[in-house]
Amino acid sequence: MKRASSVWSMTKILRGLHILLAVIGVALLAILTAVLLIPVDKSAAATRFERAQLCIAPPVDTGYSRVGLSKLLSGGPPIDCASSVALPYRSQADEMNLRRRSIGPLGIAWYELRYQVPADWNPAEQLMIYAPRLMGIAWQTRVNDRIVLDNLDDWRMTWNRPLAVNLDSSHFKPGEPLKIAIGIVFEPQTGHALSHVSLGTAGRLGFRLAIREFMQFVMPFACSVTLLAMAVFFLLFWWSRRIEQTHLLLALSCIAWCVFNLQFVLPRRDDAVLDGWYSAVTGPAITWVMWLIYLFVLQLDKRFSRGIAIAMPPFVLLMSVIALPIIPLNEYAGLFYQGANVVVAALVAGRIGWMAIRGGSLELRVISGAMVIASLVGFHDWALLAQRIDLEGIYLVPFTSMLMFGAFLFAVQRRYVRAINEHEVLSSSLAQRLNEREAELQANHSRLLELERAQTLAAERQRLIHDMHDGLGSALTTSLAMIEQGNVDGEELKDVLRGSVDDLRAVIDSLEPLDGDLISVLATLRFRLGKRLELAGIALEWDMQDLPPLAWLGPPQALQLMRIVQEVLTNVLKHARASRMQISAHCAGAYVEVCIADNGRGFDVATTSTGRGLRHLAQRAASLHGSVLIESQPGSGTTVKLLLPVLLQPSDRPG
Amino acid sequence: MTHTVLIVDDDLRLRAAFAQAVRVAADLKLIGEADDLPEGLRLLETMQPDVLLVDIGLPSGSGLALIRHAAKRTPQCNVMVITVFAEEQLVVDCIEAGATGYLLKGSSPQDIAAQIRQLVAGGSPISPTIARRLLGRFTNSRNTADSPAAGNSPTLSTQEQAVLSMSAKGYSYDEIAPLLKLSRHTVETYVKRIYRKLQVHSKTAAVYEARKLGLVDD
Repeated sequence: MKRASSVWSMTKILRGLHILLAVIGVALLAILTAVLLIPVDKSAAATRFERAQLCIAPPVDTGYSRVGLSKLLSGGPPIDCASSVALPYRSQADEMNLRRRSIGPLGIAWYELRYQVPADWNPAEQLMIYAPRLMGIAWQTRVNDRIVLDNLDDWRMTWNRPLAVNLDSSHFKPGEPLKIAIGIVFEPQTGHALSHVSLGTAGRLGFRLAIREFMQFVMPFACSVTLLAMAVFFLLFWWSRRIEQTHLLLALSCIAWCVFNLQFVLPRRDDAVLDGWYSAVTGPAITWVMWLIYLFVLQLDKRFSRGIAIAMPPFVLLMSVIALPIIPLNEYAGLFYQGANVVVAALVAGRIGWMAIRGGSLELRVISGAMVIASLVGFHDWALLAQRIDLEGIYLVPFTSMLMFGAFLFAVQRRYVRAINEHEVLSSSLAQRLNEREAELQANHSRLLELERAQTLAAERQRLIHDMHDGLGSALTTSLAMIEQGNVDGEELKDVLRGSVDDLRAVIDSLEPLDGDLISVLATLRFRLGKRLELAGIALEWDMQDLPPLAWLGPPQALQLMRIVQEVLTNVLKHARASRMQISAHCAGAYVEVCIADNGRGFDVATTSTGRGLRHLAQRAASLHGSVLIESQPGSGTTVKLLLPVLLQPSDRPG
Repeated sequence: MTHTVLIVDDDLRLRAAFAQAVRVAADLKLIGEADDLPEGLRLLETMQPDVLLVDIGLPSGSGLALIRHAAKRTPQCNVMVITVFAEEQLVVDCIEAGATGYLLKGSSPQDIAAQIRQLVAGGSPISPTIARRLLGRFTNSRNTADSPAAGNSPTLSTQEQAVLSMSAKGYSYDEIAPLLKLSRHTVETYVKRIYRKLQVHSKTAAVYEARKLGLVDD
């Protein structure tokens, strides 16, 4: 029961987590929708630049580092450039002389904007230059030919950080014109791009910036933390039941996805080698995620696709190796890389979707639905990276991690609830079977008891009939015959009838519950026959010591014992002519000794006439697993000792 | 001083034998004979005998009813039960109902007279088996001493206990008396007292049982 309840609470936790995730997911989706559908960046809250003057500085071989980039940007915009472009602007692939080199000459694109600061501008208020996204290696902003801000401290994150520059009264004066120049360092093979640029108060544009930053790295960061927490949760789950690999796979994919999300979150190092290794780890993480997800789905549904199962490990390995910084290709690998991932993700999603459509469970359908969405999102992100869509979009893959793991939690929770339900059904049917068995056993037992009772009754009846027949029956028959034949000897008839009454009493007395008390048997006998001894003038000395209870002493044995003692007493009364008699009982080790002694005339033990009676006594005693000792000599009384065992050996239990 | 005796027995021959034994005794006076319960009740009410001899197996109702009636209406009357073999359970039932003695059918006339005298003098007979049963009865009630009735129900004194347990071992009153440093007569009166206690005890137990069943209010 304890175990079941703990499983229940686990399910409750799972369900609670699931609901929480669902709420988070819905909230996220709502925010996403708001951000995507309501074009906050395009709202008319500030001055929005639709055009810019663009001039390209020629490529220079300076290398990818803060120092090189700084040197490159120090020249400032060329003076004679003048081609007007519409914003957002994206460079054409053939604009530059493409050369496939890892360390290439880098160009600078300078975008120039002119702005007339309103005369009524409050000098205390900051003026903000804001561009949601630009594509390139690094950027620098100059106002009136003065360097105001660059991102050289975190230039490797240029791809996913908005441009925001705050100007204060030291940079501009109300009513004066401003010349704003944004220089973007770019690789000729990937080009450069700039979204629209807005100018306005820091208060107004700051809000847009905050939303942008929230979507671009605060949320991915939150997702990463959540993923880590879930990873710990699943790992603990797996640890308590390691035979179940589902949770290990989920934990590992959480970790992998968390690693992947780091790209959106962490600032990156200027050092090319370190950054290379960083990319080598974070880049292929999403491929690992896909593989682990596929393995997880296989745990849910065994109809796996052999092709995918065989192809996945080499693919994952290949992607991981390509990402290593020792492979010189890696500078070009980005797009191919993401593209390959998107294609494989689509394949896996398609495969799982096909499985789900063809008789998959609800959880498989939910997962495949989530995977299809994830694939579309992956495609979206790839297109954004490849500058195929509006470059003001937001990378969404980090968000899909929540969607995916929501679906996985749903599956796990369903599996648990089902398992618990099955367990309950099973245990209740087990309990039912147990009850049935118990009832059966009980019935058998009572049948056996009934049978035993019936047998005991039958045996007892048999014994009583036998006793009556042999004792009372024969005595009465004898008396009847004597009377019928007319040779009635009053004394003899009295003896026979008295004997039969004694025997009848003995039979009745033997049925009294005894609890193994041998003295009770002797006491009852004395009560019956004491008067007779008294009448015969025999003084009786009675000496009963405490005896251990005799477990074997049942009614038949009590009767046998009474008959033995009765016979001895009858013999004394008939033949001994005694005046004193002693009956005693005491315990002597493993035996109980009943001693009947008289001071009568005694007899010769060896004579044949008495021998038969003695043999009879010995037989009776033997039936009680005891023995009889008779000491007598003519003229010196008789002592009869009856030795009875305290405990019976199992082998000589009376039948 | 003579003691009046009433005999209630449906067996004519046995009744005649008992009547004869009473008539022969100089100090006993037979004041009535009945062969069924209603007649026995009537005679008991009108005659107020010192001793009532009653057969347990009366045809028109149990002898137990007569004993109970006698114990209630004429408590000075000594009730003696007539049995064939001193059937233990029946005798114990009769003692519970109020009898203090019993007579075996087939006892000699002298014996019958002697037993009646003994009973009137305050002594009661006992058999080992009855002693054993009474011992068990009083011990059981002591074991359930936590029952509310236990406080009211009488317990045996050490001497009474000793008399019972020696009787159960087959010792006679003559043998018990010196061992307990008592007279034979005292031992006999002990037994009679024990019988009275059993009567009270069984009443208390009955009330306790009835109270438990909700048949009587406190």
